[in-house]
Amino acid sequence: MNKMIQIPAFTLAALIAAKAFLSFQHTAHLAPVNPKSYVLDVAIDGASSYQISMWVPFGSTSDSVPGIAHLMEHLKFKSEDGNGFVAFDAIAGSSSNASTTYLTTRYDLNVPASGFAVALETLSQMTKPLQVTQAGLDLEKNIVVQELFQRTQSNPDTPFYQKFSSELYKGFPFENPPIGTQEKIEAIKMEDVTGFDKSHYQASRTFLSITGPALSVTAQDSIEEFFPNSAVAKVAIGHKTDPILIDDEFEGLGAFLSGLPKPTIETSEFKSEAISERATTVKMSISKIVTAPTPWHDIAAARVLNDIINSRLPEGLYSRISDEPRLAQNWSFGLYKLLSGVWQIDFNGELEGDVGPEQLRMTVESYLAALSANGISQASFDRVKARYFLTGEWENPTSRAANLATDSVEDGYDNAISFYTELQSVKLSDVNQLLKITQLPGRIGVALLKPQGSAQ
Amino acid sequence: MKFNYALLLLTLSFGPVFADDLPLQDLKSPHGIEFSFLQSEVQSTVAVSVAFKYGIGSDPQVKPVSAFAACAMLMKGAGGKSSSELYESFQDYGGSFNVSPTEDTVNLEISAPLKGILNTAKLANFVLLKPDFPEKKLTFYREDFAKKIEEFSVYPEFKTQELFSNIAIKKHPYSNANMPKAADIRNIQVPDLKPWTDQHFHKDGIVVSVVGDITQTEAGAIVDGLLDGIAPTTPLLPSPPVVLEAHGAEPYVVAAETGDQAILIMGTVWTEPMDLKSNLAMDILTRIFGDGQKARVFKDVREATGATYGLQYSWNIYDQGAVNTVSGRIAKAASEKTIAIVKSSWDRFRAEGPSPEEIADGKASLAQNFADMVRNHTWVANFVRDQLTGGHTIAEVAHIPSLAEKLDVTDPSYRTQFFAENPIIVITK
Repeated sequence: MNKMIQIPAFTLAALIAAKAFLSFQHTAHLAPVNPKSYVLDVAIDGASSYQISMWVPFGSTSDSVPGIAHLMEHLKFKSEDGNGFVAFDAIAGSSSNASTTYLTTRYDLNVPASGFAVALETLSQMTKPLQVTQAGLDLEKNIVVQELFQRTQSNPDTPFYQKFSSELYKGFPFENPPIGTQEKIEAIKMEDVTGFDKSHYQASRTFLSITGPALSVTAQDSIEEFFPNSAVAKVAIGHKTDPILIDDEFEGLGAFLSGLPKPTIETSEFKSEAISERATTVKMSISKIVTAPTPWHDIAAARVLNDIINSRLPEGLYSRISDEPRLAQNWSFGLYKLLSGVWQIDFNGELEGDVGPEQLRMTVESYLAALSANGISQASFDRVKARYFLTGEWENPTSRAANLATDSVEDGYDNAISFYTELQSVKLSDVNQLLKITQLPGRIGVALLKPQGSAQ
Repeated sequence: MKFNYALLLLTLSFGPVFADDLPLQDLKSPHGIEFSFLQSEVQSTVAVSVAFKYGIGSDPQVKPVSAFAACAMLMKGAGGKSSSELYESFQDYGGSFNVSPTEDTVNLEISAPLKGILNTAKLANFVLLKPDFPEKKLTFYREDFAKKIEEFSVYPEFKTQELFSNIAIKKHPYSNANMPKAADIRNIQVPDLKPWTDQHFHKDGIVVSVVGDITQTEAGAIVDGLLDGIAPTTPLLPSPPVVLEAHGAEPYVVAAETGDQAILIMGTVWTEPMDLKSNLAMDILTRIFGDGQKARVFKDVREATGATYGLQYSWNIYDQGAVNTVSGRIAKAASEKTIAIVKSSWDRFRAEGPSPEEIADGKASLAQNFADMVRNHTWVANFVRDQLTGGHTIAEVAHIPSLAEKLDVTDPSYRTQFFAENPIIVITK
């Protein structure tokens, strides 16, 4: 095979989409009006193009009509006065993308260095009033409905997992998918769109991350021209540089992205079961949501904890369920921050042989209880932690820059610092303390997707 | 909304930045293995990519998917070390190890920071030469993989691809690469596997690419650490030629439950050899036709009709042929009309070719990919490996970025070849 650029296999897309939301990981923030825009300028030696991302601090949680934040993201790409992304697209080698989550909407532009100013001007236009005709709105609604079909119908199991997800997140901002429903999308009117645009897209409510070559004076002038009076934080990343710390320039970013009202989590349990036309094994998901403090430090500790549990070290879960007797296959464990003060613990796997779901669940729960009581050993902790600082992920400047920008927005620090800086300072006691979260009472959801004719 | 067109014109007058050529070196290890070397300081990770000649297309006819099983089973135990021990040892070195079959090769990739790369190479060598193939692990793997295939085979996307493949290349063993059969997987036994690895891990026609912030001497030692003891020759033969047969002009229809959408593949297959210029021309032209929001087919279909969220393009070049497709989900209620629009877009592109602006954009997009690629040692090592596997010399591969920039892609013969007058059209609904 002699490919220039690897293209993902067409037939794999549906399977990947199927369970993507189960590994969904998000953090929380709502966006009060804030008079500042923020610019994170990350300089990378040797880069030849800019990746510029602009976040606006609202997503589907702010929907006045279900799906409107996502539809607006589509419409902003094609303002019909001939400007907007049409001008940006004329730059040879440019590319763009956008995404809407529950809590933010993000626009990504990639341009050769010579297109920097045009890219910034394009993004600055996004906060100007939207120009759209009725025909343009109708066409885009059709496209969004096709996107909805593609996301929900590519895998016949998706509706089951969506229903499970809605029940698990009842009362949370994640209860309904950001894209909306066909009925709601088709019902969106012109006044809904213009009203949402006016109330939400404001020049002073943007966060930009600019990753690429060090900015020239002209480029810095462009920032001032198109995003005046912004708070700018500068960071340089090289593959051999020390971990990075953003200084006080970003004081106040936390206010830009403040926390959502904390949902109430009752101690409860529900079970969802369905027969799948395509499944050949019983697929089991156990999710638990609990309330516990969420210092940022713990997000790094959670990474270490998850890697130990998912490892094949003696303390890992692998030896309990993947060796003899073999209970499950294709499984994964994850503990992660769902919202500020709320954690989620997930186990997903496929039952092996005659193993019943209760047996697997009991094994996983007793494993976590024992690990929580005994704690992880210093040797395993040191062994896993040392690996982070050996791998390419640690020293890949582009990936670090992208993670830094995302962390800054998604977690809303006042003083944003690198994930890896935090990772360096994580101690065994942090991890063992975090492990106890798994034993707290909370909302538990169990999903079982069974093949036809399954006895279990 | 007011836009600063003076600024845009100023930007366009500078034009895009094109990627630099790759300063590849043609070296030989102390134990006599030729390899390409790129000294790069972009990352501290050292990456080594290897292609062993002969892949899935050369699997035994009675055991057509041995390649998948043999490669997957390597990490299930070697030389008395358990799967967990091997896995954790690679992790301790900061290393990664991956072996995967393609249609014409078996690809091996390792990477690690400098202080762990030699140990990673030696452990990879140990795994390649001393696989244990434990019976129980094979039983688990076989059933797991077979069930996954059975699950996939229910998807309408799979059925669409399967029919396209059957029409395009009939029963050629290449079809096993994308659509292995569950029964064939279940037919693999432990005694099949060691002969497979003995024959497929060999130095005959081997391609090795090393990228990292290391010296030539260090690179040579890593190559030898990885490949010492590998057999010098192999009795394997290339896969048989692809034989093209006539197909109908009308869409082939697969009946399946697809919800509110239908699944479309439109594409063409050819067997003429592809030189480096043709290879690059195809990359640029298919970008212009099918890649992203600026592509022809995106504008002609999604933006004009709203009948799809998007279509994807894909192309591959093999030893025995090449394929170019555009595919995706389209509104079922408008499927016939949409197919006609896609075909019309295809025909117009074939007849008229790209505009100067589209060519500039397609070339700049490729240059952008090159620039991104060289920032990741594993990506660039794989790229060099794949180009060398295609029969191009190290000197030719080194100059690919500048060759792409200067290439005249308006030659109509490219479009005639890549965008056939009578493409295969498969629709599932």
